[in-house]
Amino acid sequence: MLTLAVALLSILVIALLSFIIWERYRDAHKPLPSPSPLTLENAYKVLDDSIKKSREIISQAEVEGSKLVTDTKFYTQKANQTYESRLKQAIDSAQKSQLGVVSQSEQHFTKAEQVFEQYLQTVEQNTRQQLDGLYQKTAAAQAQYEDFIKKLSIATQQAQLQSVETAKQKVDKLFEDFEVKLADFLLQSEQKMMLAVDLELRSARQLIDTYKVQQMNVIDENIVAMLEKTLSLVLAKNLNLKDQMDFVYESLEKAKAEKFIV
Amino acid sequence: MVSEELEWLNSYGVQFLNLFQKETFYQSFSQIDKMVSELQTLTIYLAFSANPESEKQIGSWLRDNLSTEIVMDVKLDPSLIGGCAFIWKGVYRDYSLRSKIQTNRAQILTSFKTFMAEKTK
Repeated sequence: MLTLAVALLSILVIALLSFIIWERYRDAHKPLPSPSPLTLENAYKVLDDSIKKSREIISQAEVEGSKLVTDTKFYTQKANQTYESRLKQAIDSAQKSQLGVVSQSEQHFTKAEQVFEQYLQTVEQNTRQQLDGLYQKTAAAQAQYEDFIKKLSIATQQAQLQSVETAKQKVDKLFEDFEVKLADFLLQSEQKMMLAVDLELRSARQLIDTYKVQQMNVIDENIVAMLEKTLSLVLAKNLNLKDQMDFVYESLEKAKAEKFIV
Repeated sequence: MVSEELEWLNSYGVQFLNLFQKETFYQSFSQIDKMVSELQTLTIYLAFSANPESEKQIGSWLRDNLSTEIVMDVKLDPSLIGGCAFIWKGVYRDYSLRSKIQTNRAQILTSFKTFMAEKTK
């Protein structure tokens, strides 16, 4: 793993160096504005130097890269050997300590089992005792409960009988009251109806009497009118001048007596 | 008829007739008319058509028993049956048989009913 990392690192370094070189090379080969002949000569010279320098750098980089790869391989092998030896030692020591721990654990387990068995026995005894007590208490409570239920049943039956009796008495009283009130109501209604009928009867009688009196008055008026008419017809034919004059003198005397004509 | 009128005129005496001279004729009538208008009128309603004799008798009774300064105005009302009714100073009063019947209507009715009841038995 370490070897692989070192190799990758080497490759990266190489790639970086190549990239730097390439950038310099490209910058060097950029087109320039129409140089003068002197400048061009200098430029060729600089370019030539640069190429040389870059080749040196590349060769040096190759040497460095190969050296780095070689060193990486060496150190990787050495680290692997060291790791293997240490791992082996650790495994040995762990196996040893594991054996010790196992034996101690077995002892502890044995002891714990014994303690646990004792604890279980104690718990069992306590539980049995508690259960016995509980059984006894439960039996006593059950007996009390049954006794209570019996008493309750008796009391309920008695209460039920009393309730039925009370309800019966109340219903009887209600019916009696209802009958009394109904009788009173009927009596009052009858009295009211009688009173109303009596009033209506009186009113009707009064109306009839009034009508009778009115009709009698009308009849009397008619009789008087008929009598007047008859008398006027009869007397007009039967009274002679002397009789008429006697009536006139009588009227004059009466008017004089009453001092109507003064 | 003329003789009756002459008799009526003569009944007023010579003194009365001397009032009607050629010179004072109109003046006398005016004076009489004025005096008549100052007299009070008694309107008498009669149940029969009175003849002049009856009217004279009534007038005589009025002058003898009440006053000489009364003018009598006789009118006919057959519904009075008998007797008469008067209007004096604007007040009407009925002394006729009709009035008596109306006053005694209760007694008349009772008598009539009693009579009818006895007749229907």
